[in-house]
Amino acid sequence: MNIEIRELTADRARILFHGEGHTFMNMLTDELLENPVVGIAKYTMEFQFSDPELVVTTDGSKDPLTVIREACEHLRGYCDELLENVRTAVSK
Amino acid sequence: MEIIFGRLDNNNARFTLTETRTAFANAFRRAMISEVPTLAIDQVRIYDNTSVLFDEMLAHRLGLIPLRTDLTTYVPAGECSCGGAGCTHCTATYTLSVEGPRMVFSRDLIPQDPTTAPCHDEIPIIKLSENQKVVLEARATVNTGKEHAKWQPTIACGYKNYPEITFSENCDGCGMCVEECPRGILTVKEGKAQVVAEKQEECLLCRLCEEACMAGGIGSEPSIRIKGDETRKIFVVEGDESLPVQEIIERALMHLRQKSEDLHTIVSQLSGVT
Repeated sequence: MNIEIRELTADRARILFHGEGHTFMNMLTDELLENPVVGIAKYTMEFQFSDPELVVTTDGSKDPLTVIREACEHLRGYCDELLENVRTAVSK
Repeated sequence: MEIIFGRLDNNNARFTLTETRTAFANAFRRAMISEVPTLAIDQVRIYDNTSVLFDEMLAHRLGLIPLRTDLTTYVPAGECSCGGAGCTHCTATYTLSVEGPRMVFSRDLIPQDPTTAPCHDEIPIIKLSENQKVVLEARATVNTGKEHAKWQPTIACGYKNYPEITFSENCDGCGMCVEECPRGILTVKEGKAQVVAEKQEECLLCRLCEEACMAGGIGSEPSIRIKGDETRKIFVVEGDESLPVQEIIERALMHLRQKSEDLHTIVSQLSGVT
């Protein structure tokens, strides 16, 4: 994954994700919005095949990179849980 | 979050994903369709084609044939040690040589590696008549559905919210909803409408029963209510036999996990957390 940070302050980040599509971005923004400290989590794609740009704002109690890291941890956790589930179901 | 399988065989899976959200379920669906790699014919060298189809159309039809894929043997060309030049780890080769008059089927495609044979023998490619001939060599590579639909390992892959069907006390058992239901999941017992045992998951959420109930004229509200539970999704995944469905599910989850992991690593390095 290749990202480009275009703006970073204590409560706001604007990050460009090279080569990403809706599959990961939509899941990420939805997970970010689950965090109560996050105000805005939204990605925009200028044209249909443009690289998405993510905008994250927080209430200032956590910096945007921390909330992104936490969201990634949650998503990784869900995938691990489901993978474990599938493997157990198949082995039965 | 949990996956509860209703059905799982080599080519079909039906499962319920619980305690989830729509965005995650949709990412999972999209990953199964377009992020799981599989083999498909990508380059065709045509030595002779006196059939009625143009070379391009013939090549296109060959590309759409599902091929058995062993992802422990084959890797995408970009990740191969040959650098994408084409070797036995990233490319499967086939030959086809048929003279008419007869139908050319997918079984006429002879693979160099028998483990990469077409999934079905009976796929018609072209009908040849007297003195028509097709001689060609094809190369299949591993890629994803994101690049082209011929690399999709799934045929049908989708989800719906888990149907919740409730009946109010106003139900007079008129049976209008039972007649209207296209899936036949409703019945009238003891003067009240109810769901046939174990058929609740088959509800299409079409709400024709609600409309029928309104037509019955019992008050202003229908006595049957259909709601989709957004935290529970019923998935149906049907593969094209190039990969077992279980592998499609696992690889899609591994893909999403890898993306999250990659972003986590990059962001951790940027913010100085290890």
